[in-house]
Amino acid sequence: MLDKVAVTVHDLRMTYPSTKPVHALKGVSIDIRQGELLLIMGPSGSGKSTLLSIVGGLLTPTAGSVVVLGTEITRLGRNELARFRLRSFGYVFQGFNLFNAMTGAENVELAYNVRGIRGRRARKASRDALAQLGLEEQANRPARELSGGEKQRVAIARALAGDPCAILADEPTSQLDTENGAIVTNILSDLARKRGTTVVITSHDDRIRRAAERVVLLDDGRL
Amino acid sequence: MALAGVVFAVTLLTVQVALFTGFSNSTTLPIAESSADVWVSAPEMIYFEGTLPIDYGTVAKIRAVPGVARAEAMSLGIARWRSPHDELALGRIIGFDPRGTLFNPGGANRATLDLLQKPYAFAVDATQLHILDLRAGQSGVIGSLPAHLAYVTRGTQPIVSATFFYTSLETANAYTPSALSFFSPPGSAPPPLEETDPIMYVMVKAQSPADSAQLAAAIQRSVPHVRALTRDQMLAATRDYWVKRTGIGFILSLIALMGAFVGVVIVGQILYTSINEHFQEYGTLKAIGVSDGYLYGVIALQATCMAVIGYVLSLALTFAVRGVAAERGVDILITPGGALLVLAAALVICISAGMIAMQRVVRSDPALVFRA
Ligand SMILES: Nc1ncnc2c1ncn2[C@@H]1O[C@H](COP(=O)(O)OP(=O)(O)OP(=O)(O)O)[C@@H](O)[C@H]1O
Ligand SMILES: [Mg+2]
Repeated sequence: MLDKVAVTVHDLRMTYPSTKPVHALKGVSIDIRQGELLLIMGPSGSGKSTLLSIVGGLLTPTAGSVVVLGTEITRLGRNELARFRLRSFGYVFQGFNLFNAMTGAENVELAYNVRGIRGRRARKASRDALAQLGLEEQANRPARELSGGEKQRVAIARALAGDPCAILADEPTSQLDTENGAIVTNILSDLARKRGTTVVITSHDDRIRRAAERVVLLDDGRL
Repeated sequence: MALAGVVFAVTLLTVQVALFTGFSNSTTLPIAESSADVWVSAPEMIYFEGTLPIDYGTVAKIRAVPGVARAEAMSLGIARWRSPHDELALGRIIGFDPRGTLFNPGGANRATLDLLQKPYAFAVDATQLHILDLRAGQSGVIGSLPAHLAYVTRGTQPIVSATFFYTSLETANAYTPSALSFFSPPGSAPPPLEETDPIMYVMVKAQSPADSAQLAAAIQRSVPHVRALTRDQMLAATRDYWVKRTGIGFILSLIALMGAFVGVVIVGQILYTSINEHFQEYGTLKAIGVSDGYLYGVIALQATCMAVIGYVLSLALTFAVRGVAAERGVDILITPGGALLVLAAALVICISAGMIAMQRVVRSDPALVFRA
């Protein structure tokens, strides 16, 4: 089971068109196994976010392919790709990206709603997800009042709505203190180990390195 | 704040539409005031005030047409008014039979209506008193004859018309310049109308109002040199004249259109700002993978709420403006149709503005979410 390949990245190249074109990825190939926690490290500007965006179906590469569970997502059209993201991926952001006016529970509920799960079922699923991350108390507070660590845990609960095959997290701990960073890291590594969810993280954070099964180093667009 | 803008825009539109409706309604007031089913006039008639005289004798001929329950005359003349303080004004004299039942401006009771049977007595709309420089109980002069204010009506004066003086047919005939030559010395009552005296309309009550179209046709067949229109045709002819043939209808619709345009701009700006404020949140939804339709749906819902709340508040505001305008004789009329029209316009304005503003999110790069 653990040896099954979830994501195959082949010779990925990304050039950002601009007056002076930026070659952010210069031929990246990697297999990511199902249930693996992969950490992508590298200096600033090395192309970590770019790689994560392409793997997560948010960005179309200049060349190369990404195959997720048999689907070559780099060939999908705009709308198909959006549907694929909704079905297969959960995202965790550096800046949490919660809806600040909504409560934590509503944020998670919304993620169920957009996947067609509504009403009481969505409310229950949202409560359960938050409870599993130790956030029963915070569920009914507006997101803007939560601490950074609480926000990121709500964001993880949100990313898990719809039971994605992979969670993609871009610098998930860089805005958190040591303690909260550790909590979030533990949750992400538990997801990989206990749920079998593929987790791809980019980070500078050495503490994540200890939790990761595999660490790859990206430097100037190459692994 | 956003709501204030929507309320402003929708109020603008509501007032414009209501002004237009009020205007178009006001032009036909004298016809609406009458309970006649059929209006008979000279064949040249274009609209209520734009017609040529017919003989008073026509009334008797029309009474003889089968199916006619009642026929009463109405005359229309020009009044040169001089106030008690020698202020001049031009008006129109509407002569009718105060003992009749087919015309009663402002719906006065019998006793009040009887006041017009006195020689040289007239009624006038309350909004005209300051134009006439006149107060209750005072008298002025029309032409060279005395004119006593008998009572005051409400809601009878078209905005577009000169002041209407409502008098008996006899008094109206005496005031009309062509009749001056026959005039007997001051103090005596004006004589009753002769068959050849000019009137403008014969108002006809049908025995069965449902058949007024047939009755109009029958009158036109049996009485020579007249035109007989049903009440609805008469209303339409007069309304169309003012709304379509004069520039006023055009100007008012233009202003209403500009109100709608300003509305689109304001609401668009508001929604655009609101979407920009929440750009990251919408961008996150987009990254998660929701469809464009979902994003448009979210903004459409928000825009609909804005439109409906803005609409309700602006209706309230318009009713407030209405009271102020009414004192000045300007009718701001909110009909169910007009109200529905504005609601539809408000919805279209808000939703289309929202869609346009949402384009920015829909077109944005989903990978933006990973760029802090
Ligand atoms: N939309 C864009 N247009 C042009 N250039 C871009 C764009 N996005 C990223 N780049 C460039 O591509 C290169 C890789 O950027 P990327 O964000 O992937 O790096 P990163 O490793 O995530 O850096 P950091 O650790 O600072 O987040 C950088 O040189 C960056 O300036
Ligand atoms: Mg980055």
